[in-house]
Amino acid sequence: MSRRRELLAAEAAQWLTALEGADAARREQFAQWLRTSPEHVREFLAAAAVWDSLPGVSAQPSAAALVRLASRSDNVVALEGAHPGAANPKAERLGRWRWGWAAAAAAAALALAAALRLLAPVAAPPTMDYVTEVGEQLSVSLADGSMITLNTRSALRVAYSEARRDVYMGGGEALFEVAEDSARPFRVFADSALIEAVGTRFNVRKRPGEVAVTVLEGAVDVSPGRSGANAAAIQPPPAVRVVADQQARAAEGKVVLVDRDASAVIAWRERRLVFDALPVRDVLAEFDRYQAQPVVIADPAIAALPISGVFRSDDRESFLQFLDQMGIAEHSRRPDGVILLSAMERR
Amino acid sequence: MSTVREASAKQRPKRPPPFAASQYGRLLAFLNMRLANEQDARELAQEAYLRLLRATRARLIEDPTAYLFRIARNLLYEWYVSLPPDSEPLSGSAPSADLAVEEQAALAQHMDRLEDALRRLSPKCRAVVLMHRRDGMTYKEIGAALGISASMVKKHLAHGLVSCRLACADFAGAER
Repeated sequence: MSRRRELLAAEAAQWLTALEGADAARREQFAQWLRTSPEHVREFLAAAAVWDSLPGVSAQPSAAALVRLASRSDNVVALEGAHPGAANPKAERLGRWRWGWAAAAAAAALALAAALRLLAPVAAPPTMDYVTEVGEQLSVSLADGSMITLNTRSALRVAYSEARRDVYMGGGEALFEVAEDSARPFRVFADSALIEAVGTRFNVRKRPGEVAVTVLEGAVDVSPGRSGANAAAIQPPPAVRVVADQQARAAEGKVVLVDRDASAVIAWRERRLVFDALPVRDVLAEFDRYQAQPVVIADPAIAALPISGVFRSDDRESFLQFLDQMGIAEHSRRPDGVILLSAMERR
Repeated sequence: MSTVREASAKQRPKRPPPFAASQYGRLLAFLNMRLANEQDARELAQEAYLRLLRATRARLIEDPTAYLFRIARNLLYEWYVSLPPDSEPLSGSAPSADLAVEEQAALAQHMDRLEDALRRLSPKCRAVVLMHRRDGMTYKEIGAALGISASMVKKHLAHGLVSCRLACADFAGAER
């Protein structure tokens, strides 16, 4: 039983006991918790199974006998109070750590906004931060009906005010489904790029030095912002209009537009990875976004081989087996857990 | 390409769903028994999770637990109807006696573990769990009977539940 599982078990138990007569706000918190990851769903189902089978236990003392037992123990078992509480601080610490994505990303987002002169000198609107860990996905329903789904290892901050709906992307990838509201623009800030939308669906992936925006429905305007070649420009470069099945890549102060099958880009939502003649090293980099332990390519000749196929994002093992079966590469596990990928030995 | 999915489809039990689904307790216990296989368990949780993500906020908030259980029930059902037709002499026949025996044995083992886990709890914690789960007493009533606060009752209950859950770990959700 791993530590993480124990923490999850403690959280699930707390929810089961807290849900009786819970108000809407509490239920919403619970729904949010449930939507953290498949592991949360699984743990809650397992805990609920135990919870629901407990009424069936027999061969236990009657209620009256229980009262006697419990009160007798009062004088003897002083340590007992420590048990139930023990799970709580741990769970809270985990919660703080998870949601407390804070200073660094926030400061970066604010600096970014300031640099773009977009932060009006008014009271800062209330913000919410959302973070996913490796392998997690998270959907967030916003007050205006918009929906944001975060992919693995992503972080963003939502700042809604009466005048605008702003989202700052700290990193990773997210799918935006924006409810229409022409009076309040919906804007995403990622590095120096600015993405502006009204009633549309689009995906943003932020990588070091590049922001890729893919549109599924409607249109968005992507401004590269002042960076790279345009860092010192007086007038920022103009925005580029991106429509469905197009992808805009903003890097170094420029926006490049290419045609792109948007459904393949958001296959991550179904935990699928779609590759069309992508080199092995890039395929592995995709998998690494979902895994704590990277794969090391021991043989540079393999790295550039093109791969096409559909894989489950949380199942790198099946991809490694695929390489093996196709006679492309074989893998071995070093004692320290690192997976080495090497060329197939010729027979 | 999806080698994993195909492989696990082959290993799936070739039986119709034997649950009456009138009570979620039975359903969930059954679900967990079926999910002794780590791969299946992960796939099912994954799918349940995706459906939760697709749920509208309003519907989910209304009663999150009931919503999740409905998803679980549907998944379990789809799981069985998705079996290839030739994998099973489909005649609406009753579940085989073997299954009933196997299932009952698993359930009996599950209950044994719960009772063991309960016995290992502190007297007060055990009293709280049994009074709430078995005897249907409210937090307030339990608190009054044992002379503790309702929030303390809740803490005891959560602690007892975790202990029971961990005691059943390899039954209800595979261990890592």
